[in-house]
Amino acid sequence: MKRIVIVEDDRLLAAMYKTKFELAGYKVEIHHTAELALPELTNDSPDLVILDVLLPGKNGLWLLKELHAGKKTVPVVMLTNLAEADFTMPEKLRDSLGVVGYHVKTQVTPADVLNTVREALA
Amino acid sequence: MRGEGTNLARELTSPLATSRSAVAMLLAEDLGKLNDGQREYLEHVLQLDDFMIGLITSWSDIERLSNGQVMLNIEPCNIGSAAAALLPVTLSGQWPMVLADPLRLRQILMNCLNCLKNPAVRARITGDVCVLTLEDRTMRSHDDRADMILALQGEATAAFLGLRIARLLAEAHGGSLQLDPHAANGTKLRLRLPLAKQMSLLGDAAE
Repeated sequence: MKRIVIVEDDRLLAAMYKTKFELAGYKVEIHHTAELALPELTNDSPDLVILDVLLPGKNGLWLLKELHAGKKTVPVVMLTNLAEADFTMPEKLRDSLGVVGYHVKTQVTPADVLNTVREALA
Repeated sequence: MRGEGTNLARELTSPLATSRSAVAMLLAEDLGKLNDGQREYLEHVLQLDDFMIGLITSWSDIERLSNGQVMLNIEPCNIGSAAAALLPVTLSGQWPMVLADPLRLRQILMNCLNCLKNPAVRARITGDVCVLTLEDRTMRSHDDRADMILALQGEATAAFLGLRIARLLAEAHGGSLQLDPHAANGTKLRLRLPLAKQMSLLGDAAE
């Protein structure tokens, strides 16, 4: 069973995504901060990470860079409330950090994100 | 630096995004089957969420545009192709190339077209400027027309926010967006954008 880690501080949203992915047959874990997620992701690499950008404490980009520095290559789907215009990341950098999808929370449903996850894990 | 309004917009849309996701999951029947009444109510809630998100995002866009905080990636764009992509009808012939950010040009045109019914679109070149006319023949109430004028003048009105954003975006490109005050019937919008002079004046036929 493929394992997904959700790093999201909105507890209700994280729980909803967990339900959605579990219904689709994935094993899901949730972390609410980047600091708590890092050791888990480093010790036991999941198949995919759903990552919020704005988190309490260190943000999602910090976590991405830490994973990259530790040579951890895991596909990441960014899920954020930052509009794409506010979050400019050159394509090359996105690729090198393993970002396979970017979704603005107000513009997608859990089903849309599940489609991205399925494509990334196919 | 991002404006206070943009941060406020993000704070306001964040719970709406969660609400929207919850409703979407209920509508997808991930948590159990719905009856017709439940479905109808939830679809209405989803529409209200989208309406509020759209309203907040529009105000945020206006603030960013007014403060010159929007980055534009200017390149030559075929204005006919850009309009054709948003219209149910085919635009034939050759259309001018303008200097615009393709994503923002699409937003300008979409916001204008959203205010019109079955619009006719044509372009002409005046000096260094492309003038795109978007026109419909639908009679409007006096109040409706007044709201459009107020929106284009930048007055604080919740109606026709899209037009206000389109005007600010056109101005950010060095152009303008105006409502023709002399159009006897219907609505005529004139969008002026700089021509891509270094390219040929006429681009390819609209696709």
